[in-house]
Amino acid sequence: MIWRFIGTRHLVARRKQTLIAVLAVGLGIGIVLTSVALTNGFRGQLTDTTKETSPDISVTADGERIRTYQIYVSTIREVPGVTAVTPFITGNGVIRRKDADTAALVKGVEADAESEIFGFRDEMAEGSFTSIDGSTTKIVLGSGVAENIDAHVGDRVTLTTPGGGRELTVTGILHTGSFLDDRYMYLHLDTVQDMLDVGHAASGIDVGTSVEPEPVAVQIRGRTGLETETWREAAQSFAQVIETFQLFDYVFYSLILAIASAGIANVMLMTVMSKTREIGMLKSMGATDGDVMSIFLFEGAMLAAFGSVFGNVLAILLTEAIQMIEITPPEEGPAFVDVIRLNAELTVGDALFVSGFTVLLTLAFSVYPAWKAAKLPPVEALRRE
Amino acid sequence: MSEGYAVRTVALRKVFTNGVEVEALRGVEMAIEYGEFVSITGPSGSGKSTLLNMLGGLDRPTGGNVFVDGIDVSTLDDRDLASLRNRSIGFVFQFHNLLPEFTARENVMIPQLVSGSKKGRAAERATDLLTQVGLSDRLEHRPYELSGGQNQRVAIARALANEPSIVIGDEPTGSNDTETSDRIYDLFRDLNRNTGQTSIVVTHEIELAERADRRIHLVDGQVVDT
Ligand SMILES: Nc1ncnc2c1ncn2[C@@H]1O[C@H](COP(=O)(O)OP(=O)(O)OP(=O)(O)O)[C@@H](O)[C@H]1O
Ligand SMILES: [Mg+2]
Repeated sequence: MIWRFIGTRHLVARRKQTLIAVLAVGLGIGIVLTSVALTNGFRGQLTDTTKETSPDISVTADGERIRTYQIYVSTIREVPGVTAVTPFITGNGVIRRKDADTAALVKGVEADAESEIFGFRDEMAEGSFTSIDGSTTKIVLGSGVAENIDAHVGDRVTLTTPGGGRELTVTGILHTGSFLDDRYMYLHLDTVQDMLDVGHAASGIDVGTSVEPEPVAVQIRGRTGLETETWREAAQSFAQVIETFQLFDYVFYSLILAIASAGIANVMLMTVMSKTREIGMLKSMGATDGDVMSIFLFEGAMLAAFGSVFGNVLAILLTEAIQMIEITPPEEGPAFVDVIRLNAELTVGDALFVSGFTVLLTLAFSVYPAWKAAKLPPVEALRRE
Repeated sequence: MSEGYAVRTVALRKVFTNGVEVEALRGVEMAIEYGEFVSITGPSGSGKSTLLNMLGGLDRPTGGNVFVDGIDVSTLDDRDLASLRNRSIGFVFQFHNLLPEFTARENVMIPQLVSGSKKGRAAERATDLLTQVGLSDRLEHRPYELSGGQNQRVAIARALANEPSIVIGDEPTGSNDTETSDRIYDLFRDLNRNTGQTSIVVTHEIELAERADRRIHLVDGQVVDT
């Protein structure tokens, strides 16, 4: 193992250059892995948010209102795995309390089912969600909407819709931590149908399941002929946007890693040039082309390996640090959200892939200098001083 | 007929063709017996180094043959040539013989490691050899911590590391003062007597050359009588 003996000594003897090469590769890997972790985290967060803010299955009729929804609702209730079903109707509204007003979406639902499907029971800042059930005068506000008009449980408010206005009492304030808080007001289904003057119609049907939603959705489509979208499908359509951007990211990452690896190749080329006479000496002692090549490939591999270790440690530290950063939202931002944290998720698979890719790239870049060293005719190498 | 000789050349020619054509060796005929101590002399540019490189398998002839240990070197591929250099030949050059990052002992270990010896065994033998050349107290010194003469002695120890049948020195006394040159030359001589190795040494100091068993004189790439 002459190559390890000599290669190691070269690296130690030129420790400054070794260190710089390791730092360069490590920095490249660290930055790339952290970016990948941030994308992962963002995608994870997006999936989580979509899961929280969407029903397990959303049933619609090609953008049309559903007139005979009661039949569908009872059909859907029969499908195994379904735990809760509510038709809903949405429309625009402006809500006013004293001199303040704000626009939001009005959603009419059967509160019991809606609460179960979205898990609202544990997300009430004030009052209760099911208080609106069967009532024509009660309203639950998203916390952001409530904040805009400084409304609390017990306050009297006026809701104006295209179909007319109505005096209501706030009986609940919903705080989910998501965009729902800023966008929705909830009333009983019949009340909203009445206010919007749409008769007996629903915009769609929210469905909750106790099992994986996909097979249930298939059943629902088969039995009703309506369209379905599971929360996962909803998340995917968002994720597709990210993936388009990721293609650019990969090009960018490859460039960073290529620059770092080329740095190693440069260090190697300089080493080979400064060691010409020694290479001649080694050959006079019987070292083969393969021996000489192995020495320099070993050096390249070691630089890449230590660079990978450093890069991975750096990435772990960076992702930890990023997750500790707390961003305080601006004063007039969404209420109740105290801090926003960036999510970064470093996976073993990504770490292995990026490190492996870099080690291979570095080896590929080291082949040329190593080959140049190996092919030096001994007499010529010995002539150099 | 090359059997029975440690080294033999037949009509050996070497032409360098980079830029202008230089005929460095023009039909060298010589034979060196096993255990012989031969000095090679000649004016600068007469082809001494070129000849040694051919004998040691460091370079290939343009024409003619070189037999080492009865083997026609020109028939060997690069790998076998490397193996020949490793096992049968020990080189000592004029300057910068040693690898600067390694200690004296490690330098002597390297040819042994190249041939696949274990580190422990190589280190033991290196210690022995360095003791023989009078450097038992300089084992862990780096080349830059040693004098010119000490460097050359380490190089001689290294040349002997794999018990080669032929030791080749290209002005191994280096640029040392007369007394040091003398001592290095004597070391070569003694080792040759003690081990029975064939030694071929280029020197420009006639007085030293005279102490060899035989002197081969080169002029203009040809052997001439002295
Ligand atoms: N690689 C080479 N390329 C071109 N010409 C060379 C090469 N090596 C040697 N020569 C030429 O061959 C001739 C013999 O050179 P060589 O080095 O063998 O001489 P030498 O007898 O060793 O001289 P010195 O005593 O100065 O070391 C010289 O004219 C030299 O210029
Ligand atoms: Mg010479």
